[in-house]
Amino acid sequence: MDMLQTIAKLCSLPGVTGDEQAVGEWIRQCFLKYTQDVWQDRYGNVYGRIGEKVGPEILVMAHMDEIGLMVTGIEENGMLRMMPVGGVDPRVLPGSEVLVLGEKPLPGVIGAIPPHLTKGKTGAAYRIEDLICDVGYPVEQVRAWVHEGDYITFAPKPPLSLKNGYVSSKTLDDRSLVAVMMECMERLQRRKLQCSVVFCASVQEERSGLGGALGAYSVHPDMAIAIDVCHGPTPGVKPFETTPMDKVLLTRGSNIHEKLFAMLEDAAKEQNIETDVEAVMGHTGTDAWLMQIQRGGIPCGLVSPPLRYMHTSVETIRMETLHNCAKVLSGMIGSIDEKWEEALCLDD
Amino acid sequence: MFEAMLKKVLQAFGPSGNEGKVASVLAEEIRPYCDEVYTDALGNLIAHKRGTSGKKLMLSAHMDQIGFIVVDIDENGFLRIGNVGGILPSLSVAREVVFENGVHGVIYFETPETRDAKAVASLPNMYVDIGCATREEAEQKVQVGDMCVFVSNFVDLGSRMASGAMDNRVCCAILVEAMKQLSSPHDVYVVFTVQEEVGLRGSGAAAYAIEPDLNINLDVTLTGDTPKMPAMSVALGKGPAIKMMDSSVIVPQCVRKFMIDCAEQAGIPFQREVLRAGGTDTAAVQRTRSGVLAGCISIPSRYVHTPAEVVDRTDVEQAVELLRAMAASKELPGA
Amino acid sequence: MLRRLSEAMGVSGSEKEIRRILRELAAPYGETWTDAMGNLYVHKAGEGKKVMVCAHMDEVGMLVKGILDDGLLAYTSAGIDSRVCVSKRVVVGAGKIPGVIGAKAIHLQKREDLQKAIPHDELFVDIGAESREDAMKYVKVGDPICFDTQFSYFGDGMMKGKALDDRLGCAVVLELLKRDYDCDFYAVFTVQEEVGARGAEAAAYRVQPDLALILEGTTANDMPEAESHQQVTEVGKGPAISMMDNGTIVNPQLFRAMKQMAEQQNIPHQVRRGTNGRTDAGVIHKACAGALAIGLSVPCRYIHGPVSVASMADFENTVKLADAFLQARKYEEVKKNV
Repeated sequence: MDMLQTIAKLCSLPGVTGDEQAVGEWIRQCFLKYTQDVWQDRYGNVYGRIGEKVGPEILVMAHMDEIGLMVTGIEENGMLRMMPVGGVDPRVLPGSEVLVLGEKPLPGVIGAIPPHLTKGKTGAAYRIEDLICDVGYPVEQVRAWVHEGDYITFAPKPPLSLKNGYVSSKTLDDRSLVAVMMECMERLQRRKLQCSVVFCASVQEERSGLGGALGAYSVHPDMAIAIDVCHGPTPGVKPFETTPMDKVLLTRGSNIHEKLFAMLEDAAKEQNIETDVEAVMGHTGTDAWLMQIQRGGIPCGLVSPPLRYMHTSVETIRMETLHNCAKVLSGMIGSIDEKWEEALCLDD
Repeated sequence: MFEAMLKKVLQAFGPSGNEGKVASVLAEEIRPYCDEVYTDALGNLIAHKRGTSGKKLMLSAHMDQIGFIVVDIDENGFLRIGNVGGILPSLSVAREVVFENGVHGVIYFETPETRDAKAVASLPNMYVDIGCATREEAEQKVQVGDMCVFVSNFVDLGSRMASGAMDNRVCCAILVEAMKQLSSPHDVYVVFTVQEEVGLRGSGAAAYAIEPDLNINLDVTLTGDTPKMPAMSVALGKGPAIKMMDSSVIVPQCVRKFMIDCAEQAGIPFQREVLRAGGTDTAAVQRTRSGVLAGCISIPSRYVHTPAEVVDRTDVEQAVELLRAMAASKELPGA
Repeated sequence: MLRRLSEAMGVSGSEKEIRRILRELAAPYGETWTDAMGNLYVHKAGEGKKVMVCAHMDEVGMLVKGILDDGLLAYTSAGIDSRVCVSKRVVVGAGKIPGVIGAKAIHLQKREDLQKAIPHDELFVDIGAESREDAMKYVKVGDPICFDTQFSYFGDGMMKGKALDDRLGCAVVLELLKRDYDCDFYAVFTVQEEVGARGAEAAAYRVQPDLALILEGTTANDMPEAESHQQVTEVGKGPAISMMDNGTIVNPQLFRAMKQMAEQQNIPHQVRRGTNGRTDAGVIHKACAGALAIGLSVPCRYIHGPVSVASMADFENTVKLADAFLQARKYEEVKKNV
């Protein structure tokens, strides 16, 4: 698998939270290259199972949904009012090119109502109420093609290759980790496993975490690992809030099973992969949060590559670190043996 | 319209967690149209009408209303209160409230300097005056832990009507009326849920037990058709709204399509609703077990969470029609 | 026993030490096991309703967030007011490395600095390490940190110590385990209550009780200047019966049954006069197909800090009331409306 090409394709497909069908269908096709045991659930999670029907079942999850916007109303002049879906910073929107996914996809531009018409002063941050989406058609035509509830996504562009294997694109959060799942499948296919592994591209992580909750409930795995991006260094951020771009981040804290963390750390050490550790007291802000409390409690782990400028159209990541994430995961899964239950036991 | 029944349902006492009275009224109204009526551990009222398709359709609406709970009684007989659900403190001042046992009171607030309720009223400095001079006297009438709700009249505004508790008793009444009229190939479970106003607490448990193939919830939504309201396309009188998204939930595409198709085929006008703030039981149902398909019909309503919630009669009647159309559909989404 | 429970370490997510102690104390009374999140269950099989009595074993605390070049430890925390952290002794990690949380000397602060609370991210734990490398010999990022407070009795029938929320609840549950009730009895010591009642979510799914009785240590604001309705509870006035909090509205019949029980037995008691806060009851009552749940609490002053204060009599009366309630199967008086 060529990871860059896979990421390019994944990031080009629309899949705003709650409407992941297009990207889900492509992922389903990809999973079929590695296993015939592929299925989808009612809310669109895509699953693919590999490995043996012995030993424990491990659920690996990366979310496929992306942040975006939704049409809330159509003005008399045909311009669209919007509301964010997921954690969109309205300040990054003005001047953005978007795609309105109505009955017919329409390119659009996000504009701001001039400051003198709104209560805000020049220099104040734009609020979503101050912004409109202009699709360039008269109102009658807009009304025929676009309705309240239709999604708007950032216009896809091919990823931009920067120096040193850095890549920039929209939606690297978390599609680049969907590609990591595929690399894992490829790596593990060649190995004799003592467990089965379900890979899941989940829906709705950016809002409610619905996909993570339903995925963990329906698969009911013996352990679950979320893979999601963390923050790379950006100027002005306090110490210990970010991770160097060349390190794989492993998380510790109440959301993470202490022993599963140790297994992941061992897998990294064995392969000489540099890691960083983050301590999170409560919510990790990932699918691990709701997976952990399904079905009477599921041991959870979290593996993350650092990413800069999260939730913008220029999210930036380092390719080598993505490969290292795949190596840590497949190393850990490959090392699972019949002693797994003892290894996870909290009584000692 | 079913105004007499609606009025009865509107007047029944039922703040979150104390829905016994309203459940009794609803049980009596709906019993003739179904095979069994029962409540679960949380107090959700469930009315079941058998079908033949082997599929289960759950129709739901919360029956609780917002109110206040007495947290302390001071030596001069004033009742200190906490909110039950999304109370707007400044709009509660000088309002009349009533307890389950019929004791009435009025709400006011500590007034050290100003009488501008908007500036100073907040729950910790508000109280209920039930006309008692001492703690002992007050305790004869009301105990710490008792709840009260706004007293409100039914106001006939012609094609529209106003009352407190329209949220969500109007939807309870719609469900009763729909159950009276509908015929469905499916097992229909009408669920009047508890404790929606305090965080969508009842519906999940009901859905867990029923395991429906589809849930259609009914609740009120806000409108953008009053002076200076923030842009929102929903208006009174343009038909029931089909929910696309609110801050708690996204309705899946297959459910949206099912609801819109049903409305269009039956020639029922409808609106598409995207609500910026506010949640509904649908969210808790979607999350049940390995996921239940769920959508929501919203009744456009002005002045929600005040004693003067306004809805349009045509929207209400058309919501009944829409429910009938959906219940009659042989195919449910997601099959 | 109270001393052991209070002094044990058990920051949310790192409950190993307190769980070991609880298991040792509870094992004689029933079948015990631990689930994947670390909840400890004790089952005394019986006929009748499934009753789950629970208390959370975790305490508010901190985690090592990072190590500075000079060997000081930065920390992250949940549920602790930074104003109570300065000038305290702590222990770090399973090895209980001693440390202190200090602050810039008063002489080095500007007059205006003295007006401001020092936030957590300007406070550090000093274990005496001389450099980052040195510190890494003793601690790792993610290790738990908790206050180092010795438990003691003081005043007139009072006790002081850390983590009385909710080790007092754990102690009540241990007392109840010694007695026999006419039901299928589960005692559960839950984890991660302080980060969102996470353990209880899993425990409720596993047990699926008919009734849950939650034993807590709750806020007592019986302080000067606090009016009656702001106090929530008062120390010395008996167990606090919950009617409503941010996570639960108690079934009114169940609430009345608990009050009646206390009155019949002449056990001092109070109603928890406030609706803020949340407990394990919030997630337990709405798990699966739903359950009845009610909380009973020992009033504690200064909870979520390094040292809280409670009354021995309140603790004993909480045991008495919970015991009487279960003995009389008062929960069976709750009838359905329809």
